[in-house]
Amino acid sequence: MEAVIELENLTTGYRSLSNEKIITSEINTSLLRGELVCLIGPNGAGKSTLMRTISGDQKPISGKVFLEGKNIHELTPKYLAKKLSLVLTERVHAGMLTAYEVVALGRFPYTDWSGKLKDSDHKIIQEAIAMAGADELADRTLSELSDGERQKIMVARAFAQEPQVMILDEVTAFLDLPRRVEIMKLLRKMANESGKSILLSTHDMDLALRGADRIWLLPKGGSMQIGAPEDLILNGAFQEAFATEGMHFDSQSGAFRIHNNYDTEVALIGEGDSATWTQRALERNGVKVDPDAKILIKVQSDQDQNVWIIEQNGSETEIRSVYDLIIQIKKN
Amino acid sequence: MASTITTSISTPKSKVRLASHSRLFLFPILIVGTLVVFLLELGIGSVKIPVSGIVNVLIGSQVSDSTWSTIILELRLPRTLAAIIGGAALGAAGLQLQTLFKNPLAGPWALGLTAGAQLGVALVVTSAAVIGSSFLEKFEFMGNLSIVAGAMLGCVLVLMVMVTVSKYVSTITLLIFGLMLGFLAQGLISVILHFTNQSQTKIYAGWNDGSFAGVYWEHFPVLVPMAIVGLVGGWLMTKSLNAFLLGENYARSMGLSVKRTRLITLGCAVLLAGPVTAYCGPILFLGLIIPHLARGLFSTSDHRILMPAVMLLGAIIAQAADLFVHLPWEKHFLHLNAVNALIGAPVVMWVILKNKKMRGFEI
Repeated sequence: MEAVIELENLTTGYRSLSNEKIITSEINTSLLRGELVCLIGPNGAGKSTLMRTISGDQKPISGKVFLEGKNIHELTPKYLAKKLSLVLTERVHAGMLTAYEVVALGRFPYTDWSGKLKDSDHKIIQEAIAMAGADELADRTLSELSDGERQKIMVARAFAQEPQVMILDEVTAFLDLPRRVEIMKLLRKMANESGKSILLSTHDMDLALRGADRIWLLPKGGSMQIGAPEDLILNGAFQEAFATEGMHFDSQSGAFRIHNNYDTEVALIGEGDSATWTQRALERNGVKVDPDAKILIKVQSDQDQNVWIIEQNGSETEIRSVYDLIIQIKKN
Repeated sequence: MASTITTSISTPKSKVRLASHSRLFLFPILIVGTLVVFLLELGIGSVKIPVSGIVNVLIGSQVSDSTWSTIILELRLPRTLAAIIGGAALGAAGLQLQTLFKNPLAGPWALGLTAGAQLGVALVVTSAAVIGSSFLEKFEFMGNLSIVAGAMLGCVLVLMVMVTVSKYVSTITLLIFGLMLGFLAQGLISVILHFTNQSQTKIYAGWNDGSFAGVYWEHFPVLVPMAIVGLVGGWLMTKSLNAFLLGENYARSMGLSVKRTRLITLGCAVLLAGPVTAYCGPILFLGLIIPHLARGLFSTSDHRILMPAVMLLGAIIAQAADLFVHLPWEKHFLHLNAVNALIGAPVVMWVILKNKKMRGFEI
């Protein structure tokens, strides 16, 4: 597939007269047409600097960024705006502009000095709004919208700019889970159906693992790892990048787990949701689940009613909730 | 079913969607309003002149009372035209500053531009006194121009300070800073005037009380071209100002040169606020409130609509305020800024109460 963005020995950072501070070094990779790439990494790894350098907003220390074969830092702002659009973390206060008018601003690079919209512009704006599933929002002012609706409109605006590449910086940061999933689905649609190349930086590991075609993993101080999400888990890059005290990435469940110092051991017998969540509650409270343990907990589900039975030293105790179970175990 | 789908697609949604364009019918009303207030301004005063009299004077035909011609042409017409230009200019400058500083209470006065202009004028008047008191009278046009240049230079200096400070402080702090800058300028002006003779101090004291009545025909060759350049410039920048509503980062990503837009827009604001302050003195509140009234009336933030709206509204409100001042009051002399405060202060209070950002909960 054709590369829309190429990074060639790209080293980002800040340069002042006296010294230079390198943030990320020697990155070589590309963003293909119709590809959705998530840039992830711990705080302070240099995601934002890299994003700003790729979007042409900041000059690199060395190396180059190519957009369709042209050095992005030599393009005129107007040309660049027709090829690349941005969605940012910042909340937009657009006064009394309606959502439609905000999306219409995506046509900025194409309209004349007065900003007059032609019929063809209106058509593109309406398509962008329909794509984002934001038809009902169009007539409302931006200030009336929720954070999630507002970001949806900003994504539609970026789409109406008709770019080859959309760059989104932490756009889901303030959104709840359903809204984050919704934005991710929307971006996938834009990549698949319209062939946009999308680069999204995010803190949301789970969403990145499920939604991205490729992941650019930027560890703190290390070199960037690139691959399908699954590749990065299987080769251990993911676990390494996010290894911190008291936490580890569990490659079985694809989620982070908090380490505990276990002081009690129990054996757990049971099936399904009730067993899974019981184990989680136990681990959270520093109880290790081990089949050989002396204390045995049986989880039984009859008629939507869960019952936990603790067997210890030949005696049985029946308990009706996870909360009471934990209290009982802690007593021992 | 199929037929309903076809109709919903073929409906020209574009016309329905731009809600902000639904109040365009207000423009003819504003134009008529401007003309009505214009006629009232010329007709009402200690001497009442009927509309037919006004029209005859304006088209140069004979009128029954020869004093009418003098009153209109020498007193009321220049004053009214100054109010029209001043109102439109201050309204446009206020809109530009509010968008550029992302501050709903910005305006030539609140940001200290007015004070800067006053300081500039005081400096010019004083240096003229030092160089030779006859300077201003001898080279009338040059003196005229140097006062305007002083005012604009003062505006530019204040703007440079405010733009720098705005990078480090919040919306509200910036306004306080602007007010303090104003007090500082006032203090400096008092000190400077100490070095002039009494008659000049008197002239300044009169001017320091803002009024459209101090503008004479000889001022228009300077005032009008500058206002026109500022207004046309402002009109040309409306598209860019719309992009600015989303913030500088988004504006830049749409291909806008942020630096150039800032420079041109601030330049226009100086061209609009400087000369008006130079000739009319400090006109309070108008630049701040007119953009809000325009937004409320047209229910939009689209500068392509707001820019002409603030010009017309500015012309109407400035004329109306001036008319109120010049009503035949029996015992009392009203100040223009007192009237402006009566209209302006409640609007500012309303903006503060309405706007979350202004209440300080959200920066």
